[in-house]
Amino acid sequence: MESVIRGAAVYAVVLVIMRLSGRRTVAELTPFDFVLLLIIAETTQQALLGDDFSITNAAVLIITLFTLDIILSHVKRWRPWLGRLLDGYPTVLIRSGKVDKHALRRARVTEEDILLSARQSQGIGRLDEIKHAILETDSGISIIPRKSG
Amino acid sequence: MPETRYLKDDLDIIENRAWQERFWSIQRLAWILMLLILVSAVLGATGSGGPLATGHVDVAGGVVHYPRIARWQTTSELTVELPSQAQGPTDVQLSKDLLEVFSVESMSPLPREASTTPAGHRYTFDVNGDRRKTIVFFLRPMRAALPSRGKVTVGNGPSATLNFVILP
Repeated sequence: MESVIRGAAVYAVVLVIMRLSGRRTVAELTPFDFVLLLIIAETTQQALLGDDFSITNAAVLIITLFTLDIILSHVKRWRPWLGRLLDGYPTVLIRSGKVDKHALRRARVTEEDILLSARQSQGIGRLDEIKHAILETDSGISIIPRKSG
Repeated sequence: MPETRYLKDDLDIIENRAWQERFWSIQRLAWILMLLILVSAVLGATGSGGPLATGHVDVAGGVVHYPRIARWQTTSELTVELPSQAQGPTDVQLSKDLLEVFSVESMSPLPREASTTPAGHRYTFDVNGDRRKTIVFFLRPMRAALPSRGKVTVGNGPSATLNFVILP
């Protein structure tokens, strides 16, 4: 029983903190983000296992985490508001070529982040070549370029 | 806060800006809350060191330093500082309600005798020397506990009440 409670509690804590810390936290992995994720993984591992390093405990925990994930994905389908709460909405950062400075500031995204994504995904080098830029619910930035010609 | 579907200029996207603005505000409040948790953790409100984590109570001329805020399954120390005039066999008794929450892992020095009584466990230590003497109990909380109480008795003096919380 303790393993299931530990698994559920740690899952909930990590989910809430990740969500509230802001989506930039898990966006493109900078070296700093990578270190942060490694430390979080190590910390949660100890909280999950406690002193019990048995295979049974590991198996129960893995089953608990997968089951929670499956349940949550179904609940999100049945109750779309929960999905919106957990995943949020996409945020348009550049709309029809116009940069939404307010959205950028609130979402902690810089124009450099948009340009990085534009270079990587579209081979675009300038901001005025971007028609739309959207901060997606998965933390990535989608770029829709202006049509050339 | 209704969703709106933006469908023009090559873009088809469901937005809810009012909801997003509200969420951003909640996020900022959460950051403040995280900062407060961090400060309270430094002060010891989450146990494991810090001024709030350790309680002190006078007992029979000595002092007991105990884990006021402890963590489940994490070893904590309960230190009994005996008065300098204490000599010879000295009893330290941990009450039954304290032992229901804490398991005694070890102690230093080891007692000459340990016995169980209806009120709890009694340990008898040989105490010698003129200087201040301390006995350390290493306790491990076996379950989480909301504000709870236990008692420590030193010698024939009155019991001292320990108020503690065990965080999960």
